[in-house]
Amino acid sequence: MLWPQAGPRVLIVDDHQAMRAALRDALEDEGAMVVGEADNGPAGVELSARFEPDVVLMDLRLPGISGLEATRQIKERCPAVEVLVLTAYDDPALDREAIAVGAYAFLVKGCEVQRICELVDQAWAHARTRQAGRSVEAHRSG
Amino acid sequence: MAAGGWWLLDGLARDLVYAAVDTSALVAILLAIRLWRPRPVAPWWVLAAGQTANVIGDVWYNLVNQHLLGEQLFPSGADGFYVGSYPLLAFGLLLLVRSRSAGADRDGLLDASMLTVGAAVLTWTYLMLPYATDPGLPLLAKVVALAYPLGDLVLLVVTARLAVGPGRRPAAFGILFASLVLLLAADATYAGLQLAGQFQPGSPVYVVWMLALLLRGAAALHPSMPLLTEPAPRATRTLSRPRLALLAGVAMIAPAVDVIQDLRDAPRPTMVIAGATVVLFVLALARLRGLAVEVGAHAERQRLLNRILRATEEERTRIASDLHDGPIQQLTALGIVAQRARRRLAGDRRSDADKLMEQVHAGVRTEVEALRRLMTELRPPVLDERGLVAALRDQVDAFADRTGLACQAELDLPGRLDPEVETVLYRVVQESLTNVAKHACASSVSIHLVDQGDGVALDVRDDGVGFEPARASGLLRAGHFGLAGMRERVSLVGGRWEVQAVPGGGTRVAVHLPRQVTPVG
Repeated sequence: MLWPQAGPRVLIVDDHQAMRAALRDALEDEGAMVVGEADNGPAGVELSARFEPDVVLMDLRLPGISGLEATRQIKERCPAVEVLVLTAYDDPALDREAIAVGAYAFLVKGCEVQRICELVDQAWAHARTRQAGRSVEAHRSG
Repeated sequence: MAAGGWWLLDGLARDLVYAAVDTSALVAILLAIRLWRPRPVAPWWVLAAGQTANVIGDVWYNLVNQHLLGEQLFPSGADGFYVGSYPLLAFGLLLLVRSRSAGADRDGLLDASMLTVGAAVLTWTYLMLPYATDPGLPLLAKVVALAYPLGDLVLLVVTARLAVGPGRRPAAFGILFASLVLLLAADATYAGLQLAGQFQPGSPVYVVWMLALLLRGAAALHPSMPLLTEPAPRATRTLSRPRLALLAGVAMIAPAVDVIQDLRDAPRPTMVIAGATVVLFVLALARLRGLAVEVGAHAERQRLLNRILRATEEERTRIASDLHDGPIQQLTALGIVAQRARRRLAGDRRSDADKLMEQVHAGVRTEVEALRRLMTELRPPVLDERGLVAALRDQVDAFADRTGLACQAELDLPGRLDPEVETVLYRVVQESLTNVAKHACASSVSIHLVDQGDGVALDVRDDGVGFEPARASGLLRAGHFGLAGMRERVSLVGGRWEVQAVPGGGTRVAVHLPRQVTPVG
């Protein structure tokens, strides 16, 4: 188990139920807490704002708005939330675009579950570090 | 060689050589029929009959009249055979032209008609009119004298038809065409010399006639001779520049003759020129209409091609989307489940791993089924493996299950068809059933497939609401893809297609296809 104690809080945004279920089970196996699931872009943005998860696993091809647009809106509304894009499109141009709109990393579906969990862990650590940095800055300025 | 040595001979020897050359053409045709076995053989038998009449005429004229009787009578029995040989020769060539044309060749017929009208004006003015208006010529002699240029005119019509018509043009075609041109040229020269009173037995015109005869025999004996009667592939005909120039020249003949006759102060055949001008004008209009129809058809084909290209891209997009939303997502999810099972095996939790693997197994089964459905939709394997009838039964059964409509299929087709034809029939049924499901509001559909010997007839009927026939042609003109695509698929394999609809009485799609694909050039 990657996170034996209090793992990251994760939101899954994917319009395929089988994918959401498989990701939830795999993440929960490793000790993560899946705080919610969304099957479309706007719901993903809404749930991100409501639950403020540590990490969002974001599909790109979604009903409503695209995963890229959803990522942009999430980063705008909740900068502390890290977004991991997980898509079936193995396309370097999309990878660059996802990073440009604020995604932490870009993963292609079919990769090892372990790789997904490792990146969730890294994104979570990154979020915590930034959070800590912001707290220190706030303390100094306060 | 025989033609070259002509001037070294004289009298009887010269006429015997001529008769030998004449007979050689007949022997060559008969030998070629036996040797090359052309199909159909009828044109060549008729040509042989024409050549026989010509040989008899020559023997009568050159040997009997000249050497046995010692005087040339006009008209004599020889003229009967000569004149009779022209319609036979022309009929044989016409049969040849017909066997070379797979279907109607309207443009070729119109072009040949225009050439004929032009030639008729010349023939009448310069070769026939002097005899027709000669008061000293007895009636029989006048009729025979007019029959010669008329025979040449008939031959010219068919030669022009052969020249502008469709069909393969092997070496034998060129040789035969050259022989006809030489014959017509020699005949015209002969007629001119006769009118001028300058024709002498042994004239060089005989050499040209002999060359024409030798070439006629050579055309028959050439190994490419059987190709002359092979039907040509259907082709889109265009008006080439040389042909346009030729037709423009033909249109100028009548006014040019009028001017020349006026300048020569010779009789002007006003009625003939006026009639020829009217006929040429009507023929040119008919030709223009044909071209306009062809341009319209070309534009429609272009529109359809664009739609096909667009539809192909849309189809690819749909397949990509289906693959993305279906198998890729499901298999990715199953991959995750399989990895979880592996971790449980590594952690010695065999029972948990078994449950997950069962989930993987069920998921893979479902996905294989989904992929098989997609594959069948793209190209039903049963069509290639078990043939059209089995594929249509599967299609109709699946349609009945999906829509709940009563489906009746009478599929009477022993054996297999050309794969291309089978595909077209399968797609026509698929498109027709799609239309029934989408638009017909029908309660039942019947599909009949009947073997008709040389082809197959397909009939798809429903008892739905039908549609206004005017709307059908409107949809076709607008390039409605389903209907237009069906029609184009059918015409590409040389078939016929029609959709009939009676408001409130249902719709009928009727297709007739050949067993073998007719190539379209």
